[in-house]
Amino acid sequence: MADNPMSQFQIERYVELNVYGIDASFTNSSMFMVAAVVAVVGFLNIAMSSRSLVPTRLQSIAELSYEFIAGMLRDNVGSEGIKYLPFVFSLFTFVLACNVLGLLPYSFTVTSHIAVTFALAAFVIVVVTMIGFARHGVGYTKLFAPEGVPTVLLILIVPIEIVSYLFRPVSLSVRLFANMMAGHIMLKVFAGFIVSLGVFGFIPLLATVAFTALEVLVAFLQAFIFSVLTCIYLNDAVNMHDH
Amino acid sequence: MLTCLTVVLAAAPGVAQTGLPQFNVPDMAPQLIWLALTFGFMYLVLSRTTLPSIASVIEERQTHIQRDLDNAERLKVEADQALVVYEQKLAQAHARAKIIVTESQERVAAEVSEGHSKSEVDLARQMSEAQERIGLAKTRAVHHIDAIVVEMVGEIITRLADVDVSDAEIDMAIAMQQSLATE
Repeated sequence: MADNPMSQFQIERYVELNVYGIDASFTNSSMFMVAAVVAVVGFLNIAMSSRSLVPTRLQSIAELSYEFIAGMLRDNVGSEGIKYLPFVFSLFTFVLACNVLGLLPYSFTVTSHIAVTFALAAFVIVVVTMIGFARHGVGYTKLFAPEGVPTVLLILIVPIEIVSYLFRPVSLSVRLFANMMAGHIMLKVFAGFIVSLGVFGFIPLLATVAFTALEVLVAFLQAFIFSVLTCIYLNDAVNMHDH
Repeated sequence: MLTCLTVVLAAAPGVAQTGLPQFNVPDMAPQLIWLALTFGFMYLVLSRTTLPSIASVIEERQTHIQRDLDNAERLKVEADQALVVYEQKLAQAHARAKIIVTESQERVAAEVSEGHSKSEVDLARQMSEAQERIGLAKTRAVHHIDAIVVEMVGEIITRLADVDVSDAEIDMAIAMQQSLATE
């Protein structure tokens, strides 16, 4: 089964757990989620341990990541967006850490599972919708009826807007999941060719090296896209269309 | 990416029979539970301690820089004020120096003219003294000449007429002659 490119996505239960009839086993996926959280929290806390005025290298990485997300929120949501920073920052770093850890050989990519990405995306949409209704009340439903559209067209526009709103979690989750899965399958398939092609195996080897570099880029890019889209949805909820 | 995925999926053996592990529903529950646990834990730690500490460090640095900038601004204003005061004082000093220069020039001019007039008086006095002296010397010289004339006349008479004439007689004759000439 080792040469099956899909076996890397197999969930393996390390510790069988059953809480009130629900399967809560500690799996390879759980292990890498814990690893991602430990990596993020551990790194940030070690980096910020000195809290110096002139930052060390590690501290400036932590501050840069903070400023990066803060800037993203400022650009997309405005000055009010800064209070959602822990939310977006957690999403970004969690997705990024899962993506990057998944690139290590023999590791498991948490974000290559639709269950995880859809749960994250649904969580984002639920939170954003709650913020929208909390800020604008029933007026938040005006999001589905853009201003300046003729009434006749509203019959067409409103259902389209509602469907596109409901499909946000789907597109958000499938984008991340499909990118991660496709990249990892491609790496596995090309890596398999190295052995089967014998002398000419260096060709897929070079391709694998190139794809690995590309996958590092994709790991960052997808985490970035996930958080930018979260910011854009937040903007809809905070400012509606009058941004 | 997605087209690549479908191509790869079609080529990959065993997928058709078993399906993607991602769509194995019994595996989803543990993933979701652990996702909630780990992400929830991470969110709590980040939002409670880590992110506020990063924010406070950045804020501290910002206020520090702002304070330094404000200080620099304040010092600049002070320096500008000091420059203005300095220029004022310089201008005052210039004006005072000018006054002093004109005053001393006037004083010197006054002293010089005073000295001039004093020396003129001096000169006039010396001149009149000298004239007096010259007059005296002149009368004295005239007397001398008279004496010499008397002597010469006596001599001449003695030589020419071989007559001894006393000086008093000659004097008398000269005086008579002079009185005749003046009449």
